[in-house]
Amino acid sequence: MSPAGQSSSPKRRAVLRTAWALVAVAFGIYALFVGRAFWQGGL
Amino acid sequence: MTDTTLAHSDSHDHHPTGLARWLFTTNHKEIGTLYLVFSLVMFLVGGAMALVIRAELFAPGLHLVNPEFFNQMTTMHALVMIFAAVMPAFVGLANWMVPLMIGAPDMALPRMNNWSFWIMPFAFTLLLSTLFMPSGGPASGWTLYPPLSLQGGNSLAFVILAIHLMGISSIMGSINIIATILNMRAPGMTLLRMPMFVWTWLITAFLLIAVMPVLAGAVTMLLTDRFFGTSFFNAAGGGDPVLYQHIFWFFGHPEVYIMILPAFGIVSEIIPTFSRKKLFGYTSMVYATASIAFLSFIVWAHHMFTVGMPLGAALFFMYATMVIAVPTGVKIFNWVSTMWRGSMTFETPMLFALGFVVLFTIGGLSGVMLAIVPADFQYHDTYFVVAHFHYVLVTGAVFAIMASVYYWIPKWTGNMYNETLGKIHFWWSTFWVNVLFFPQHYLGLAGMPRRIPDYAIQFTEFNVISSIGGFAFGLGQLLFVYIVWQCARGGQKATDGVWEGARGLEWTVPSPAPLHTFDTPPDVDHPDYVAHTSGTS
Repeated sequence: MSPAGQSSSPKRRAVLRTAWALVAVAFGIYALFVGRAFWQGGL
Repeated sequence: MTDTTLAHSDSHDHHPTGLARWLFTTNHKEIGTLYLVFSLVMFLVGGAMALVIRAELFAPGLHLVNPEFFNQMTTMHALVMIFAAVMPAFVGLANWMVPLMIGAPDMALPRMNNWSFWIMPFAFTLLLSTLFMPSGGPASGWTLYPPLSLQGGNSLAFVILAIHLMGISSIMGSINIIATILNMRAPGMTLLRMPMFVWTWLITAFLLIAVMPVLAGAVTMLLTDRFFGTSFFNAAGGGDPVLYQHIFWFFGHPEVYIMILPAFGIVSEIIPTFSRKKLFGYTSMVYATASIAFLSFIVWAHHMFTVGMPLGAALFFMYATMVIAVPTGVKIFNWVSTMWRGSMTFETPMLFALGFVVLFTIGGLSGVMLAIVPADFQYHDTYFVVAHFHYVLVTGAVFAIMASVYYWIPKWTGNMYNETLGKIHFWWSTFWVNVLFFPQHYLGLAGMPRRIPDYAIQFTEFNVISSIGGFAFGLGQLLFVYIVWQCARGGQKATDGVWEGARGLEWTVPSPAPLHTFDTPPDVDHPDYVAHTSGTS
């Protein structure tokens, strides 16, 4: 199992899909709390 | 044992040595070791700060440190113990054990795993460096409540950056754990065949991803309030300090469960092993863990009843908090039922697990007392709260971590630890931790406030007892360091199975676990494995 083979395998793609989805969730929650507060006139 | 597990060979592995080995490693076992060593060092640093606090409180009056430094110690002790000792210890255990337990060759994202760890030493160097700055370290308590936190020195900026870094590390670690568990399980390792430790960490990782960005949002607003002229929490500018408390505790209460759910998982591994029975009520354990995680999001205001809130809100948060006792009770019941009529033996991991069950329950019961709104008006910000959360976090989380180290260290090092010294460590710790924290209940009920360097003379006796307990408990942890050091250097060789009643894929690999395991996924339905993976019914 070479690294090159791993990077294109369906499992690798599934791992990356999961990871990016979770990154989006984390940023979304941060934006919900702090972004919305700034938007509503904290400044 | 099938040849799939024995097929791992390190001969193909060109591994760097020395510092580069640890700096550039992407191996889950080495990163797990890094986390655990970092955690142990920070446990000692945080412990030293606790001893400064207990030394000052040994007698009424101001003796050793000035009040400002005392406040920095209470703040830093909490930040270090929560974020640098307990959480990294659990992440280290997850790194070491989750891939082994689910039959995966490594974590799903090994390079990110390296990054997750190496952020931590920088974050906490930054945090601790504030103690040497002209304005001193943070002194407003680990919650960093405004307006007090906004009235301190410029070191707040360093503290907030450290919290951001630590949060990024936690989020990346959680993404890795979730991606690993959801994508890297061996064929046949269905979700409801996973060990309880893996389940509790899966749920914990989701909690972390949900609440660490909330903490990041809160401290970002704190930063802009302090340095950029905003007024989110500044009443003079139209802001509301109570808003900070709501946001902070929306993070803070799930954070409590982040520190205890993996502990539940550890105890759910150890008690069946030393009772030589399957875990009673596996499925209900999974649902109870998920229920506790859900409830953790709807109870935050019980930390702030005294700020005042509508009666309906106070009742809601009181009852929601009490409801947590139900799934927690299910867990206690299941652990006791697992032991019922089991062939129990009492090696050190089991002793710490049993200590956890008894003493964590004391912390849980005082938690129910604190949930009662009118009673909380009396207990709030007293030593009763300090006693409560130290029973939950020291005899709960820390005892579980120690149980797990004794349980898995033969697999990590290939050597058995010294059982006699392990038992001495347990009994010494259990006795003195109660001397340390139990009198604090009485101090709190009598009205002694927390976070004060001096106190009224009627509180002297219980403070003396508590301080003696603190120093003796701290001394006992040096024995723990010695036991771990001795075990890492040598000793009686451990077998692959290590414990007679142990079940799970981690016990099918050699001791010490080679650098690479499960390069070929194990077939968990193979007869050699099935006995290790059928613990669900």
